[in-house]
Amino acid sequence: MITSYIGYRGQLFLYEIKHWLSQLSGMALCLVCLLGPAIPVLFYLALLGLGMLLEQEMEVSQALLFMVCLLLFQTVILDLCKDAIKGLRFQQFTDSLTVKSWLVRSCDCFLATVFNPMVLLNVLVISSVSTAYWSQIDHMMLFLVLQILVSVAIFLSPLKTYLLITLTFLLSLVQIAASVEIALLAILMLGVVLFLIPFPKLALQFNHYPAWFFWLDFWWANIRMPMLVLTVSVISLLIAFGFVQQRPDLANTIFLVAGQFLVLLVSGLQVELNKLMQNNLAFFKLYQEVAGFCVVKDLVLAIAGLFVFVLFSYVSSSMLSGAMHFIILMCCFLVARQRPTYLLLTWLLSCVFVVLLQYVN
Amino acid sequence: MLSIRNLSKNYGQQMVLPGLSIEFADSRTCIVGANGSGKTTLLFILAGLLKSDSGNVLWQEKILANSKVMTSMTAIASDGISIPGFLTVKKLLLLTESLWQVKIPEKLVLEFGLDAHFNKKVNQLSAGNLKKTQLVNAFMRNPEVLLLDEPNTSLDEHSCEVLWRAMREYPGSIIAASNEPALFTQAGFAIQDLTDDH
Repeated sequence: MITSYIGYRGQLFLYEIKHWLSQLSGMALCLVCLLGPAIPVLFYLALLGLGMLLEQEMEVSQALLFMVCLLLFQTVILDLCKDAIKGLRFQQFTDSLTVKSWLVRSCDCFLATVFNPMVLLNVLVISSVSTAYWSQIDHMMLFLVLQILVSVAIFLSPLKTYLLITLTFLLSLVQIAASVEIALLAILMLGVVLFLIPFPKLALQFNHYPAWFFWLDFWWANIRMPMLVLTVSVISLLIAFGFVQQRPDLANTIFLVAGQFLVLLVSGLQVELNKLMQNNLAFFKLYQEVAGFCVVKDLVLAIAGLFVFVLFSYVSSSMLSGAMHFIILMCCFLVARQRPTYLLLTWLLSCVFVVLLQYVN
Repeated sequence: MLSIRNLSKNYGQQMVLPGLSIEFADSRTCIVGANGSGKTTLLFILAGLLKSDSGNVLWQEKILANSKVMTSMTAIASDGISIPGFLTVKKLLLLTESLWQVKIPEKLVLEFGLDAHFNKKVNQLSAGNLKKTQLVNAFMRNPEVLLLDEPNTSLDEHSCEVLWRAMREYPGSIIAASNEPALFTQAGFAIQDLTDDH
């Protein structure tokens, strides 16, 4: 029975991936333009990052920060594939098979580990090194174990996983470990302890549920997309800063590309927020809370605008450049709000405009 | 008294409400009509959740221009309003209590047996319990006009009895939409057929 169930879960996963790919092919043009260049670039950058880790070119804190970014990227990918890994579209049927819960969880963890592109990339990097030198890259092995731990943990306890990633980030700031290996061992031990300690289940009893509490719950329930955008934005900028350190002569071009990528991501977030609004519009209207949602939408716009303005003013040492990118972002935002189908065209035009301006200067 | 004048609504090329004029003179009215005849659309417009393309909604012969006023003086229970799935029944009712400064009707909750599902998320409720949640959520607002979209659908026999009694005792006006006019006629509702007006 166990082998039948495992076979079923494998087939279900492949079926879901096929279904996903067929949906993607339906939007082929849009995706090729929007995500096509971004996804391979992100994987390429992740591979470069792993290469840098392998060569131990970085300090302990830098290496840990890089690992945090890679773990976050991996978590984002797993989150996107969660439905396929868990077979959520056919959950009721899967549940009706009444197998033991350990088997269900084992299948989830196996699929999350084996079909995890970031783990596969690390395996690729490790396998590219001759086995005679494996003793010199034990930090990569430890990082692989950490990656697997995080892949498994995200399905068992997302809260503890994010806590572990946050603690790794904090460790990178304080820099207490003498070497990456010791730091990774400490993080792994911390992770194991964290997952062995049962967290108390909070059962809050309340007799009042004001609007601000509702909005807190609402954004917590819908945090996936903003978190994805934030993670990818931060990773892109960190990578851009990493490249600039190596090639300061290309600083302007690198930040230009990173900035335009950022504009596209944040404008895409606006489209997602619009969808979220449409899905809940009747409910918001019923409670006269449409304005509450719009405040958050405008807040995202203001923060993103301010961020782009400060970044480009700082990078180019010119507030004019900051203002220009701020205007581009606002244009993309407005289009994303009013005519989402024209977003890509507007963004491409803005890219052409920015490149031309760069040449003129 | 609520009334509508020359109310029309199109969804793209499809005309749903073709310049409708109705006076809801009775305190209990049941809107009937074929599927797609615009029953739910009309309730949504009356609740201020949807804008009509033309025409007006009137209360005591005065045009209600502001949708917020319509939302304040009506409460609607409809499957067309998707409640965010993370809300539990208790949170939803407490939110209504907090935002509209009303009290949760404990008697109605107990009669519907909804107290046993208070801590369940709305997306985990059965169709019947979701309908009861929508109904309690609308009744507790105690508005001048209660708008009920297919109120008895999915309800068990006991819950239907509770609903009929609650509707009977409700002090304000009720406008319901249903495909079972006979039941509503028995309960003293005036029937308004949208198909006739088309």
